[in-house]
Amino acid sequence: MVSLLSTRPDFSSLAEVTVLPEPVIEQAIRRCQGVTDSDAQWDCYLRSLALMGVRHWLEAGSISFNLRVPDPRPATPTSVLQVNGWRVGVAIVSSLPPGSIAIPQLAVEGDTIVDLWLLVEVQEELGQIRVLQGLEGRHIPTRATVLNPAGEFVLPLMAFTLPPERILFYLSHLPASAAPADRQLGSQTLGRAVINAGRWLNNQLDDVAQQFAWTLLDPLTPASELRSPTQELEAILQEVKPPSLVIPPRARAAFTEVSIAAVPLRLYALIWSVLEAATPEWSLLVFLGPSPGEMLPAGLRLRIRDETTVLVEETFAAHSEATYLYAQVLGRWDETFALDIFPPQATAPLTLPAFGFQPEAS
Amino acid sequence: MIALWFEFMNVSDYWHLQKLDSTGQSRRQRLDAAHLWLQQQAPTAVAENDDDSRLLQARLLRDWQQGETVLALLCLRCAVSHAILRACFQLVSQFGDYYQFCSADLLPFVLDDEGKPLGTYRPFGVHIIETYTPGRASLESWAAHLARNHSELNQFLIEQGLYRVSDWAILNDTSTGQLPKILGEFHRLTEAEIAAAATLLERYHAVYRRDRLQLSPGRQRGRCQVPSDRQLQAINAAVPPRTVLGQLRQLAYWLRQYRIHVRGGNPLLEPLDPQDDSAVPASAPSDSDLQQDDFLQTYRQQFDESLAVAMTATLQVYCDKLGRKKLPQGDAWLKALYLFHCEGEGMKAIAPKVGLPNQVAVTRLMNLKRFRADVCSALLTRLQAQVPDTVRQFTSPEQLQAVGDRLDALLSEEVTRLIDEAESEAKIPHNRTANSRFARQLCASLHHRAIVP
Repeated sequence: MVSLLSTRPDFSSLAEVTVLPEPVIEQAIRRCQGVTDSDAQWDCYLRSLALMGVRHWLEAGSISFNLRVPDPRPATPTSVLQVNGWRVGVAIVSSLPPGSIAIPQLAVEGDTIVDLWLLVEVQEELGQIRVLQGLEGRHIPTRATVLNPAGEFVLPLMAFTLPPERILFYLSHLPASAAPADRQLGSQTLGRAVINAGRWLNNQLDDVAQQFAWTLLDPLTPASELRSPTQELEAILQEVKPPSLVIPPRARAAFTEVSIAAVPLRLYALIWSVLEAATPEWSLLVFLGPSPGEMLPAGLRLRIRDETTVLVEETFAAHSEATYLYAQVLGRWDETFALDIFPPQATAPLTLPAFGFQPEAS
Repeated sequence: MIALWFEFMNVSDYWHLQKLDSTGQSRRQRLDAAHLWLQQQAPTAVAENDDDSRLLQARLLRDWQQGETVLALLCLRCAVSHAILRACFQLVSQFGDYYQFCSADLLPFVLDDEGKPLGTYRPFGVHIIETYTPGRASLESWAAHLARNHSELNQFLIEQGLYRVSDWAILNDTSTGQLPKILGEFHRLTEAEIAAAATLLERYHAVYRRDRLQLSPGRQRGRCQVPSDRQLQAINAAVPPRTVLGQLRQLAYWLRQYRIHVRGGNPLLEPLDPQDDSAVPASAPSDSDLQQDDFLQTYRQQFDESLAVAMTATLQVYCDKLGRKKLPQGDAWLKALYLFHCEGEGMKAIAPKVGLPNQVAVTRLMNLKRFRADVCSALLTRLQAQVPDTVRQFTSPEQLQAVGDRLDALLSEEVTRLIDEAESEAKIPHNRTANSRFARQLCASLHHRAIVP
């Protein structure tokens, strides 16, 4: 694997970068001279480059912005640039891109909230930056996958969805105070984002599912020619399904891709209504498997819980002959189930939006 | 497929050296001394002419590391020269067309071994062998890695608009806290190996980052250079600088592979095709689309007029900016804009006409996406000023975004097509170009400025 990877040349285009003049770079260095820890100092330096780079980027066009430069204190994750009244923060992508972005809760819910976050690639050795995408601060709690023990919202890079042109548009045409109208969304909504899986039965994905890149699969059919994700799911079912488990034809499935410990994985969820009991119930069956050509890392854990209790937890054992982890839960239609995936040896899970079941809701 | 091919060398590569001839092309030269010596030392390997020479290679490395003979090193230098050549050919086949370079541009940087006895000058191939640690990667991959990482070769590629982050920049950007994940979970190294790497990285940071963050007047920072012997000594005085350098290169190699893996899965970070992103996806009309249609219908008349004003004003601001900085790009920018929109020429064809080396440079000069965004913004400002009451009904973020999307769509419809066509270097007939409102208005505004030849 290593030698195959090494043949990929790892180049990127310089067509859309913002170049920082040398005095600006020196200013960034000066700003971080007082930071003693090496990693913290380097982080401060990259952040300063990003903040000043954003300023240069804004000034490169024909629109004029009312800018207030950051104070000269060492840059921190909550440092902002004020643009037309917007408080603009930066999240850094350096040459070793992070798997996720951590944003301090204070900057989202505190007294001095950040209105807009920009994902900024910093090419330190060339003194260049590139604004990749943006995200309004008010969307952070709902797009975060977890609030970690350090008090930071953790977001995947793909949670940043505003393209640069749209960022310019927001900053020049929207008053900052207009955006956060529905800021009552607080951290309490974290983990409360619920995918209404019941709508899958009507061939629909709700907004939350779409936001987290779930793909609805065709109804399961016994035979067809192409190896679609549906077929793949059928193959999984053949491989792991205990004989006692009967999946009715009305079941619907969706899948999404997650990355755990740098391994790309596929998460499948199958749902169906269970009408045999006096109270209508629903079943959630979850499979976690590797993307083609990958393997599940040993020690990976899959957990399903309701609001109070862990209902089921499965761990992928080293040298296991199985390829997949799976778990099933049953509940009333008003019950929701949360799904946690723990990387090997990790205590903090990747938490996905919970699953609910309201087939009639629109 | 290329990857597999890369892994194996033909045995005869060990007594043939790839050298540059006077035209800058490579030539395969047979070295009799190396051949003779190999025939004596490893007659079976030489006779079999196997495609897989790994056993022979392992033996040569062992001989050389034990200080046995310069001929073992000469054979390895031959083998490595082939790996360097292939790495250059791969770069040319992958990027040469778009970024406009050929193998004769690259080879002089890295194919510098004449096969002569080593004096004060150390050929690049010898550096590759000296920094190689057997076990984790093949010598061929290592040679390709270092060739792609070559400082002057990289500097040349940067001038062509193609950037490969250096090993030293990657090491600077890595914190020791990231190592367990990258080296342990991704590369499956042992705890002891990770701990040793963490110590090395910490020492590297203490020396190299510190020097990089030195403030000295008049200094040009520029790309990160290979650590000097003084720096290597400061990082670890207990072993020879060359050994420290090899260890750092190995660590950077692991980090880069992780970087490639992470970026491979992230479209945000894949900027290699700068021209494919102007398309506005068509979607079914939603309520807000319909609302925008009302909006646009109502202001159709103001729209054309406002577009003209916005276009002219934006052009003016850009020209003022370029003029104020006394940049020669000002004229080139207008000319490129004209050729692209009014003559329908592709960026590759425009490059020589505005004195630029390639289409990447033209893309950067024209900065079309930003220009369109700015025209769009000026247009909206104008519309807002003209019809304040009604526009105010559209100023929820979502509605404004929707209106903005629609404007974007109008502005980009033809530009997208032009860009597509430019890629295949097709000439676009004049009358077709002028069908787009954006291009029509832009050409009208350019005519008005009398820059048209």
